[in-house]
Amino acid sequence: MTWAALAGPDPALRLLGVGLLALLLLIAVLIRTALTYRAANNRTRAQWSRREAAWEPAVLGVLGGGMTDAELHQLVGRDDRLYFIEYLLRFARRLQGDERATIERLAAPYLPVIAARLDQRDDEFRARAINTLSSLGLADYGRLVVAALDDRSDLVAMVAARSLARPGVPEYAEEVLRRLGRFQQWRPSFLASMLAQIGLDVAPVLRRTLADAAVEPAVRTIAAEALRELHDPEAADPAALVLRTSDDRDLVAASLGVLMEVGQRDHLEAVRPLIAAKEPILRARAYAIVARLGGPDDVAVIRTAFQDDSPWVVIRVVDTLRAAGALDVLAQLGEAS
Amino acid sequence: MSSAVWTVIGWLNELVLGYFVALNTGYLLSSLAAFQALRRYTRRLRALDLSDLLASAGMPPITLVAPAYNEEATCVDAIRSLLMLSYAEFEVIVVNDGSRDDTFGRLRAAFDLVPANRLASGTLPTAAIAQVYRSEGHRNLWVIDKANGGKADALNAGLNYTRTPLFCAIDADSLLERDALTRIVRPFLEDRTTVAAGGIIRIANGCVVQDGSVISIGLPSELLPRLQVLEYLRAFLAGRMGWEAINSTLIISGAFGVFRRDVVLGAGGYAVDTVGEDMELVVRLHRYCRERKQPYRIAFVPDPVAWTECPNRIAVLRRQRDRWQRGLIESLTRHRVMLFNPRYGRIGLLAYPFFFFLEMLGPAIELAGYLAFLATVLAGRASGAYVVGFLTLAFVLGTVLSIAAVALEELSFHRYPKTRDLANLIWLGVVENFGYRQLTIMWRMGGTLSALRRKHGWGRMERQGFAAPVREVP
Repeated sequence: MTWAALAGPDPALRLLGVGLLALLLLIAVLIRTALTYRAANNRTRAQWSRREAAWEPAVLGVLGGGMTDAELHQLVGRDDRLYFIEYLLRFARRLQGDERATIERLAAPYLPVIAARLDQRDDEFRARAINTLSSLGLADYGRLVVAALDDRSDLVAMVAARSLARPGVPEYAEEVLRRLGRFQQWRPSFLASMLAQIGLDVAPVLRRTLADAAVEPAVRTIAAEALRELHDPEAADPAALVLRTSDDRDLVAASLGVLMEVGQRDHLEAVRPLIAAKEPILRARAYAIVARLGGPDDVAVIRTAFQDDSPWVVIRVVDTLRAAGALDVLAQLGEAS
Repeated sequence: MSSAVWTVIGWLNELVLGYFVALNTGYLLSSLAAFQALRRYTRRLRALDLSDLLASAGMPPITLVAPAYNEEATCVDAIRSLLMLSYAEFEVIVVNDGSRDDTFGRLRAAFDLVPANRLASGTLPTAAIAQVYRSEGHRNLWVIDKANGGKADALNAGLNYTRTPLFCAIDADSLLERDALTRIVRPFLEDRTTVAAGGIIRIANGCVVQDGSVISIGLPSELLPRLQVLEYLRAFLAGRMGWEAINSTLIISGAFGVFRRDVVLGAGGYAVDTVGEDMELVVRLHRYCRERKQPYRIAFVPDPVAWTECPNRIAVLRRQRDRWQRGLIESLTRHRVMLFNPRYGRIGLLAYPFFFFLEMLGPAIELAGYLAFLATVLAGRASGAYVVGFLTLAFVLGTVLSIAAVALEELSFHRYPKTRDLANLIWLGVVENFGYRQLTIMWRMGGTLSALRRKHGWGRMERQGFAAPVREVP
């Protein structure tokens, strides 16, 4: 009786009936969706296993010289091209030198398919294409990857920047540095590490950037952080110059970080005034540098750190003295405080 | 009955109908938003190349703060799993909050703890610290032994001893997946205004755990934990992901969340006078940042996983839900100034009212509605067709939401590899409507009453321990 009423003349009941029917249909659609995803996932896994089983011995054959590129390419069907590239991409990550070059050579005929994907609207597709092109064909597609630094999507630009900042390839460093300003949302230490992984070849560009007062402080800060990670001994002078000329807190803190790593006694003169800085991070770093580089005359200065309002200052000084093996000074200060 | 009574009952019926429509519309929209967000998120993950990110030296150092109270059954396995995390630079601070069992003894024996000096960098007030210990075998493991002060107090103690810019609050009985930290820290890399990020909590019952890692995933054999698996999928993948899609995350589970140390200290640390310190902190962080006009982001990340053991006994589950509801009420009433306040943006205008009216007041409205509905039916004042139609609608909608969560799981992470488990999850979406949902409403109502009586305390959680898996290691 009641079920029949749902299809009866009462408009509210009819609405309820329609709603119920729609929801039942939605349940069916959702179950079908879940099962379809499951089937698709299983199918993809199985296809990957099948493809890898066919490709792995062939790629190893080419790497070992027992098989030609053409023989391998015959194993890659037209519909499998994107999968093959992805497979090579994963394979390439484990290799270096000649073997890596071989993988890049094997990938070359398929990369135009990837390059064509740079026109796609979807940010994620473009980002992935840039990642692939830079990993497997930077020599041929470097121009496209550099252009991606100016992509409308920050994601694509960041993937391009990370691809270009690769160990031992400093030629793109200036291009990346020039666009660092657009990555201000990203954590500076992450960006600094990205630049530092290029290696010491990038240090001259970073030093120039650090010393250039016309460059944004945020970018100079990243350059200083990268120089600190690189332990570049020549970075000490521009860092000391920053202490004398800038009052940007982050930039001064990063420059103190450089001097912590590679500073010399000559730089103490620039550091000492910062012991009275307002910001605890600056005082902590300044004290730590004095503790590391200073002489017996500085023990009295270091002692004042133990009266500092910020616990970070004390922690930093203690850690520095401990790391420097100055346990006698530490004991002396401990007794005095 | 007088006509005035029937008028009130009529209003109640309308109120419940409105509540029902608003709640389910909210859930449906949230599932829809989560669908889009998860699809985009999984594609983004592929584009970003996580393995490359793992090797990056720019990951910020993190301190994991794990409060432990009477966790002797699980603490050693859980801490071992933390020490095996794949992350460049991290410390673990376990805070033994005056446990009355052998938690500390087990930790000391397992990790070779010795007394050590460590200067506190924070000044949050906490119960007395008895001693700080450091592991001889794992130099990045510290244990703070302190007087009992509650979970929030223990977290504050850990926070005082944290030296890294980020800290990760976790339950000492949770198991983090090896790459969980790398995954959860991504929002902090991508957006420097990020102040907090939460990961997903999954149920470990039914999984095989070996050496502190989940090595095989499956559904538990008992019905009660199974129902909670589905509940967690719905809460995290459909609920929190939906709120994340509109940048309105209001809850980060206390079992796994990463926070910026300076902002949490600035906001005053964890509140010690609530049992919902995790939610309260997140609501307070929203308020703190908005009131200072500080740009900020609080994110939910769906792929970093913390596995936790869920209650398998009704009594324990009831106590847990009671506590959750009290925590929700305490968090929301404390910050009621945010309700419909445009100063707090979409949090004040959307997320907060949703949680306030639909989640917090929901059990009371629903229970009153059931009673009014029952009275209407018993008095013969309701049409049979309406009654059956409405109940069926409620049942079918509940099923839709649960199966949508299962579909989201299949779309995104498909962590349950057996097709039988998938079928079971779908079936549970139907089963849970008969009894389980009504029970949770009652337990939450109990929590509401406890909150009104200002009852504090944790309730007792019984753990079996991860060393006793439901199934043997194959």
